[in-house]
Amino acid sequence: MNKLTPQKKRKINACVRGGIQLLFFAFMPSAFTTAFAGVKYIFTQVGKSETIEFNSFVKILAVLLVYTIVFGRFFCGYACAFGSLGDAIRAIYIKACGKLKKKPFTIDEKIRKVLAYTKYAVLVIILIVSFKGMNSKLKGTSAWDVFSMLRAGNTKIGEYVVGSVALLSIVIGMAVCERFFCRFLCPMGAVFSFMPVFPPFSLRRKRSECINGCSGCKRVCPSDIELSDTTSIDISGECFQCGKCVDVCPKQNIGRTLLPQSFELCFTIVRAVLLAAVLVWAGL
Amino acid sequence: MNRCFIKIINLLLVLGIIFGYNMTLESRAKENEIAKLQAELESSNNQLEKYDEVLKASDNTEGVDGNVESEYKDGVYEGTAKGYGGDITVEITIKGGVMKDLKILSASNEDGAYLAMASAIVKDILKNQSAEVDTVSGATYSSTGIKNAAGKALEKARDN
Repeated sequence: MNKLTPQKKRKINACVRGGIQLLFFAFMPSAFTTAFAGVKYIFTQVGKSETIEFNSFVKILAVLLVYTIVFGRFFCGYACAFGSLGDAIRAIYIKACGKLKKKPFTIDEKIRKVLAYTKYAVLVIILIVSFKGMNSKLKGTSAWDVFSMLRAGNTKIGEYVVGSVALLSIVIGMAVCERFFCRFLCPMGAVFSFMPVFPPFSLRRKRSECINGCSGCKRVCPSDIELSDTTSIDISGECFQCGKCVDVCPKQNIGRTLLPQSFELCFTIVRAVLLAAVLVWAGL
Repeated sequence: MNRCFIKIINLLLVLGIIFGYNMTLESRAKENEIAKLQAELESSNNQLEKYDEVLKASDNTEGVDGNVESEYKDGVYEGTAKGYGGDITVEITIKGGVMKDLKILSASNEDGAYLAMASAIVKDILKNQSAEVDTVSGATYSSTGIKNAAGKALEKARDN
């Protein structure tokens, strides 16, 4: 493992990540909507003053939240079908730009920072709608619904004009900015970002050993995160656990306190298998 | 440091609120149930007295004919309708003019968790003896599929 060049290592990691994403996309494409259906269900029940039952939606939501508390937002980075769609579209766009010798479009970092708060507004709006019991009236306005229907092979999306237009604009956004939807709009991501994360399994860096002025990890990060120092337990709720920072650090200075860096790839596979197992157990 | 603790406290607070909410509703439901049962007991006692009087007044012991003309013919019928990602096929069993059973035969393109939620509609359809029931919110597409499939099967039972 140690003999591999950083480039090769990066390539292997990217391939493993792509493979895991593809498998989850093929076999568990509905996990993200199911978990969020759990959130909506809770607010719908409260709006109707009815008891919250531990049904299949809430179970999957609970399982994903507990998993996120332990391992961070690994689900977002490796298993969410919508996130994977975004990664694929971004990859195609970057490749196309390379072929056409054009510079890929980017959104300014300051704007990205502000846009990241939009997802909380999206979450609040959806929760109010659920609370008021107006979900059924807004049928066909969700981009997720249209995406899920297309994925399931149902092409009768003619009735869902609003949802289709929303999906199309999101797809364009996904091309021009990495993890556009996840960072800026995803209401489930907003819920995940409220979760505390178990620090020893999270990525942190020994800041004292960083090269002065190097911000390689931040520049490669799809969420522009400035990683915490190993002494801090404050883990960013925006981290998708993509692990790109680990590969890019010239001093191999980023890691998890409970695991040596050479286990990074094993840990990724273990987390993926574990995630699939708990989701199957929860009845997905 | 601070942010992590705030998140933990928030999480515990939300969980506490949800549990507290559920417990309050449950205790309230129990109280209502007790009140309802008491009222029922009283009214049925009154009714019993009335029946006794009627029985005493007449020696007429004519049996009540409970056979209501049903619009459904006995048999097993299938119906298919579009769900979320494909067709849902259900099978209904009619016995003595009453829909006794509703089974989901196939729903291969539905998602497990959604189908589990949507299946709550089966109980409603059987209870109402009709497919004209409300869909399950949160699993609208799948439950609409089950509802429409059951409606088609019931139509067959009517036409036969």
